[in-house]
Amino acid sequence: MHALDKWIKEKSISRTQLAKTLDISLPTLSRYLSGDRIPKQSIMQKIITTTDGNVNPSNFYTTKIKNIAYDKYNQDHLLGIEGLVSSEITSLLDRADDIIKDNRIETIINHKYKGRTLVNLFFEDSTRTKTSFELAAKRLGMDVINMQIETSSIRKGESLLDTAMTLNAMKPDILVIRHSLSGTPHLLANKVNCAVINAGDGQHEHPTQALLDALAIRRRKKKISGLEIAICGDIAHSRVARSNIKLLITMGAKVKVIAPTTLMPQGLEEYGAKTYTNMKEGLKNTDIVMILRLQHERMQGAHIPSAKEYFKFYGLDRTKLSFAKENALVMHPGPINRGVEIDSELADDINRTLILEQVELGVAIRMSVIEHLINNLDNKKFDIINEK
Amino acid sequence: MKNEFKNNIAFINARLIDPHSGLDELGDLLTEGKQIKAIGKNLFYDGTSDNILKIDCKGHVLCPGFIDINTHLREPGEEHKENINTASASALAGGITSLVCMPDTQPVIDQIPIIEFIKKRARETNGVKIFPAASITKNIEGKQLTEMGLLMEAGAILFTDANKTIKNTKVMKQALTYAKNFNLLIMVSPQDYDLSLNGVMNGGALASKLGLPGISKVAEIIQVERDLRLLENSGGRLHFSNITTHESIIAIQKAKVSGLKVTSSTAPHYFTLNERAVDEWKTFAKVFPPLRQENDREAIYNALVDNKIDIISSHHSPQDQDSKRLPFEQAEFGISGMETLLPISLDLHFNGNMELIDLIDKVTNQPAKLLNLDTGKLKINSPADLTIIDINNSNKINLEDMKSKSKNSLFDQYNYKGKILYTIVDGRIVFESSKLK
Repeated sequence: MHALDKWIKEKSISRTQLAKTLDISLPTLSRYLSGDRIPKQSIMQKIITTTDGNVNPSNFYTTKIKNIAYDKYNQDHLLGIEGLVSSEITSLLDRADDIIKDNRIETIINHKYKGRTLVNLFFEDSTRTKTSFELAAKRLGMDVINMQIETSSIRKGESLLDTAMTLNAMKPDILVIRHSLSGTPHLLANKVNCAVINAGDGQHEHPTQALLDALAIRRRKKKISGLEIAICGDIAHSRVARSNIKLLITMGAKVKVIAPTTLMPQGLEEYGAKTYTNMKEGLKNTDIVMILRLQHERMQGAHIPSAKEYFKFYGLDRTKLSFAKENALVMHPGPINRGVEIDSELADDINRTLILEQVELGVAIRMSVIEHLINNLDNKKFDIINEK
Repeated sequence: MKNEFKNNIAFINARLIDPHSGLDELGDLLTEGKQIKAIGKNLFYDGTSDNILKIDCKGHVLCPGFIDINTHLREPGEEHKENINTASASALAGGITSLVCMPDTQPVIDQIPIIEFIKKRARETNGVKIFPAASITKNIEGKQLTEMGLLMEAGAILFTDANKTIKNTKVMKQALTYAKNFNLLIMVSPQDYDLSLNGVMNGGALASKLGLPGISKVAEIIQVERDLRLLENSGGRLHFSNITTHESIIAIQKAKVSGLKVTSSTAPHYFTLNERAVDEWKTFAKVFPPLRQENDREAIYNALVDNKIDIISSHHSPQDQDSKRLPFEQAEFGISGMETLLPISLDLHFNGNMELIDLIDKVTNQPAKLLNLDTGKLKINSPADLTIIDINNSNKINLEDMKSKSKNSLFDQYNYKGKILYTIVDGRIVFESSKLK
């Protein structure tokens, strides 16, 4: 059953009523539901607002329906923002908020999960994400193993799935994976018994980054729904952008994407985002400006002519920021290229930027995710015991 | 094969379909030795003699065996994926009696000894008839032409760089021009080199969503248009395989009307599935060229019905499990296709208003014409390469039952109609399904 159908049933309204609310014909609605057609941007936006984010664009790309508990995060893994509903996201954010309260009063190591294991399996370099997961797990009293890919069997030619199966046989509770190829965490999740957290896969998703960004926004602005959020930079190659767009749209924000056309992926409009190629137009009336990192290898020639030209037209400085709302805030997932995507002095202005706060919140969000997944893991085991 | 020593076979009560002559009626057929001896109504009204094997076709279709112009047999070099024996068994189970094997083996079929090797292995296997294609350029590098004339004499049926396109326009021009000396057929699977480089699926919203590098459909169209321009200039014969886009069909159609010797083919997955088969990194749906969007799938389907695409080939590309159980970008391209060629294509007849004889034309008479083969037709004194099909038999495709060494089919558990009952090569029964026994 289509997620929208499920929602219709739950709200006990008819398809005709919904079609009327969305201002479309009944046959059009039927085509959406059968998967023959994907709603265009304006209709998608309406669907999201009408259903309070319980139906989102990803529902129109897959026929698979997962078991959604409308009050908490009930999944076995965190593989992406794709397919999550607003209540699931809210429950992850709420718990992170509580954790921050505890942490700021005093740093207590919480021995809740003593003896539990988290494995960091990073196939790509990472400073903040890996450290952040390690810290989060240690605060929960877990044992942490950092797999060194350079020295591990992967270099000896062991296949990815074999490595995962070997790790799985050691019975960890959480496997955190980062990989340069899209879809790798999903491939592993099908093969292992532990919970898998996607810490970034290729150009696909980086869900914990999007969650911590959402948390940062919510703490400063007290809400996400209704905000106008601009995401600027190399969208085409960014997993952070994809996760953020999906999350913010699901939470009811108005998402605007600003990038030169060579760095803009196809199909964003179908996701409910509006696209711009001009910073002045795109930043108008914006509450939050998210700046993405521009990779060095894309600065010469093939995607943009030079870093200089890029900064002139797309780098954020005070002049461009003035096109946004007066109290607009600046975010950046790091690491920063000063003078390429953001003006150096602006990046250091703690009144306007949330950059360091983002890093700090990262630990809390990851603790929240780990807690949820371990709880779900325990509940599942409990269910199996009960069945026996 | 217990019937091996019988010299004659009498097929009675068959629905004889021969696209070459336009025949579609009930009748009988007699083979003698390797050839078709007689075709007609009530050939055996006074009975058959005892030393003739009699097969009662019970009204099922008896037509020429299929000719598959685009297959990868993986031998030599990748025998863990497929070898000539398993490929032959797979072909025969799919009703295919002749096939063209692609030269992208290891080593590449670019020299006479390798052609000889394939021919020797085909003789040993003694199943499906194998016609090797040789590469246009040495080692499929797109730089130096192979010894086309000599390779032709050794038995190369056509010339192609398989899934690779010749990036250098000058080399492609030379290839077409030189091939004309011997009236050779050049086959290309059109895909602009730079535009398709590193791409793993159709470019577009779905690729963006999955975070995968895409291959825009423009890559195919540009290449088709480039090669048509070259053909116009050089003359000669050109065949486009694996056509997947609406615009390519239009361009090829226009060239045909203007008198160029150009033909095209596609594979069943391109008119049956669209890019959404990739779903969430399903590597079985990773094929080259990639599955396109629904409007292109529909265009390919309609082009077959409207006879704007000449041939259906399986583009059989077996891949072992280890080549597919990988992150999507690392997985190999290709699906195993020979055994599903007929059942998947029959949808054109059942749901696409295509006459059965016109559909069979695309896998028998048209490829025979393209390759100048004396098979693919029901004609007295032609080779007795035949297949018997129960077109109404409903069934489910089961990967476990496949004869190919690699069972990477996208059509597992797919409901289909149409079952191959018998396959006959040179008057010898080489496949029979247990069903009719």
